[in-house]
Amino acid sequence: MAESTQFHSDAAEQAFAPVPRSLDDRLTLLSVRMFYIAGSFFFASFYFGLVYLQIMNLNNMWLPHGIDHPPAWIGVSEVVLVLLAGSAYFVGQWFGMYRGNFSLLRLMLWVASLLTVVAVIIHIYELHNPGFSLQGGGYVSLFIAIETVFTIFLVVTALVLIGVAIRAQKGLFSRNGIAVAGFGEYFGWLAGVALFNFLALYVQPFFPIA
Amino acid sequence: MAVATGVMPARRSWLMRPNMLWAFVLGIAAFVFVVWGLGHDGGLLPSWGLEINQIMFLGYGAAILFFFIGLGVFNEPVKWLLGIPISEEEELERYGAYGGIDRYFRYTLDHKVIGIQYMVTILAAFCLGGFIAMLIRTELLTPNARFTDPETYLSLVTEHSVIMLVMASSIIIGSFGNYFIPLFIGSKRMAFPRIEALSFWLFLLAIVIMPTALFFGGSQTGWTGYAPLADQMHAGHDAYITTWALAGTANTLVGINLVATIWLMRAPGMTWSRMNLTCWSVLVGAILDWLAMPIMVAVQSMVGFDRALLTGLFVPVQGGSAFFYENVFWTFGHPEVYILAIPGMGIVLDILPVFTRRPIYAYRAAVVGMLGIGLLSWFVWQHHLFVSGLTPGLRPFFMFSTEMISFPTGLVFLAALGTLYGGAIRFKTAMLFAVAFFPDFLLGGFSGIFVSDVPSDVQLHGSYWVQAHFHFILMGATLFAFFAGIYFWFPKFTGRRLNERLGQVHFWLMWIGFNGTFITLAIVGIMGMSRRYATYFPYLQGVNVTATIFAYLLGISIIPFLWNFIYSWGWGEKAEENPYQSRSLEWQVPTPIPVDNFEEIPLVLSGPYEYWSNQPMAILKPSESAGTPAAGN
Repeated sequence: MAESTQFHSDAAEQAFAPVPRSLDDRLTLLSVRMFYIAGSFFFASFYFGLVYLQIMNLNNMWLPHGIDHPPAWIGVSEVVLVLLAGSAYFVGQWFGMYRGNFSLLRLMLWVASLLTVVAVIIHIYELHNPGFSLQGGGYVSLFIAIETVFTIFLVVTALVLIGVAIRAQKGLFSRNGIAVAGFGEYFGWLAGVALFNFLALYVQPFFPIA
Repeated sequence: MAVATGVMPARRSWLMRPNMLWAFVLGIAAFVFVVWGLGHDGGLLPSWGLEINQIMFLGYGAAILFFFIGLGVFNEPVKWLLGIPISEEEELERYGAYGGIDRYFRYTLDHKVIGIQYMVTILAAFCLGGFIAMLIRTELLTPNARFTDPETYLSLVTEHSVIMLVMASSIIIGSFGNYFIPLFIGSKRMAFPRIEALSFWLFLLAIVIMPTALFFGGSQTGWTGYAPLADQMHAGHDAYITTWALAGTANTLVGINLVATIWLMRAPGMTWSRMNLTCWSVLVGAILDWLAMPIMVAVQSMVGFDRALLTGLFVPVQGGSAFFYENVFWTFGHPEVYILAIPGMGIVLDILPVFTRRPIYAYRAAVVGMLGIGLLSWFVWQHHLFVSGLTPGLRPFFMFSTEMISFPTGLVFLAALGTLYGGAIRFKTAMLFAVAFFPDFLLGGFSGIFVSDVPSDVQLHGSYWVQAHFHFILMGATLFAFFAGIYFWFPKFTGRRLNERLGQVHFWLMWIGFNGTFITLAIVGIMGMSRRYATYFPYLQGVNVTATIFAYLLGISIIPFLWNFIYSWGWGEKAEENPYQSRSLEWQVPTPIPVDNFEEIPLVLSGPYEYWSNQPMAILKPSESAGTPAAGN
């Protein structure tokens, strides 16, 4: 069993110094990377549908007349919130890991958590009020599918983030911050997916490729 | 630590601790409460406007959640997130340090316990799927549907195929992969024990949920679950979707865990070229699991959206396309074949040197072969769509890429034949199963050429030829390798031997029954009989009766095995520590294997097949060894 590397943040601030990566640290980073590569394959299956159904345009039902994306402010705010949450996490992580500023790390974890929760709420609002019927064609179907699975990812992320923030509040950190950095990488990937989803669902279909 | 001092903290009584019994009670209660309590006609959920498929998914979701609560899966993660310390009792129990049979019925993190949990579940699923196959063959004794109506017949076909494929997806990787990989590479544990345990319980739930489809009209799609047929199915098809979502998630997690373990946790001196071939084959299978299974989860969740939210991803009048489903499904589907088959290759290649007393022939070629098969499996998926209206211009590429798989497969055969040639062969039961792998896989390969080739595929597509072909691959190769592994490593699991005479009876009954069934069914296919029909032309009755008799023989063959397995585990002849004088690391540790596998991380000096060498494969206690030779890199 791996030895615990948790200790109080005050001690961390005093003893903060780079340490070689342990096996558990390397495993953490590798697993995070493998997880988001698996997640990329998962989302790529949906993106394939965006290209395929658009090119096929069966019965002219890819994007029938009258179907439009939900209000642009929703899409923009979703992606901005996730990017801001990721940025807050990154800033907190950077100051925590490289400057030993744990009070800023704690603050930024709460900020990132709050922004993620707001992003979840806006996603749920968007899915509840998309402004079109769910039987309104290929674009509509993919919009609902992609936004729903992304919302599920976001909900899980928010729960973990709140947990990490609670742990940070209690002064429980991983000694060299690898777990924090790993989650930061995952957050970067999630923000990338959010941005891609915005471009794929709010922008590209209205500049058709076929 | 308490284990070291021998003083273990007292435990609460069995019933007060989370276990499988509580998990099933809570899971079933949650499902019944949601689907029948809240979801009945005039109930709360329909009054909110929820449709049957939405209620079914809610029911399965609640069942999964409460199953895991009953199992105690969330206890430590929630405590960890909230910064609450985990008690010593909980931690010791999680790692199986208390021993005892009850650890097999809990959320235990010891990879050896998890390997056994997988193995027993796989055997149970195989018996269930096999029993359904006997029902199918019984129906086909006569040209007209006598025992079932066509819809029930197709439901049975779907049940059989999905249970068998979910089972086979983990047959080697889940059981032998989880049990032996840390032992093969000289590690004390898997990379992520919690994820490893979670993957098993997800897998078990997948197997358990599939038969519930029969209570809701079943699913008549077969294992492929093609849309838009899947969109129109009874509520039973929601069990199919949930099963694959769970199995896909479980296999993705297994893949990540095994790749991380092999990549980063090898003992000093355990270079890539010193890994045994089972380890290599599990690595290739795990990479495919990691990358292909998320695609299956994605496509089944899309079908779920169509069914629950009435979107039209696969409905042409709503702008969807059945080809979209088929392309995504088979992008997963063909690597899936090799998720099943490649790990089997590794096991049989590892068994051959032990029973021929020869080093493996062309080790590197075998590794390249398995890697090549894994890589090529991504570029062949459209051969499943040759008759579905695929652009003709694409056919030559996919025909060529499919037939290219023969080349790396040939390297694996080369290694096997080269090892057997001139060896002092001992035909123990494990060796019989290992050797049988090759002609059966070869028959699968040869029959596959005809369905990868467009002109013959146009004639044979959808016939019993295809059914015989994939059974030769999936059953003839994978299952025979699984049994070879059980006979070979049983002394390591249990400290006892399986009865050799009963083993030989099992092998010959199974081999004759299996080949008799599927060679006959290949002939039925050439004679023009289509798959998935409960009825057929009377002139086909003779061959169908023949196939059914062989199928009964195949079914009966499992009886001596089960008797042997259960009896020998409890009362069988005691086995020596290393009954085969194998060099491989797993045979160098004591039986029963300690919780931490090795007292110290071993120092590996040479490979597992170097039978000419006088030095051991590894030094198990490097700290006690003066003048330790260099381990290499």
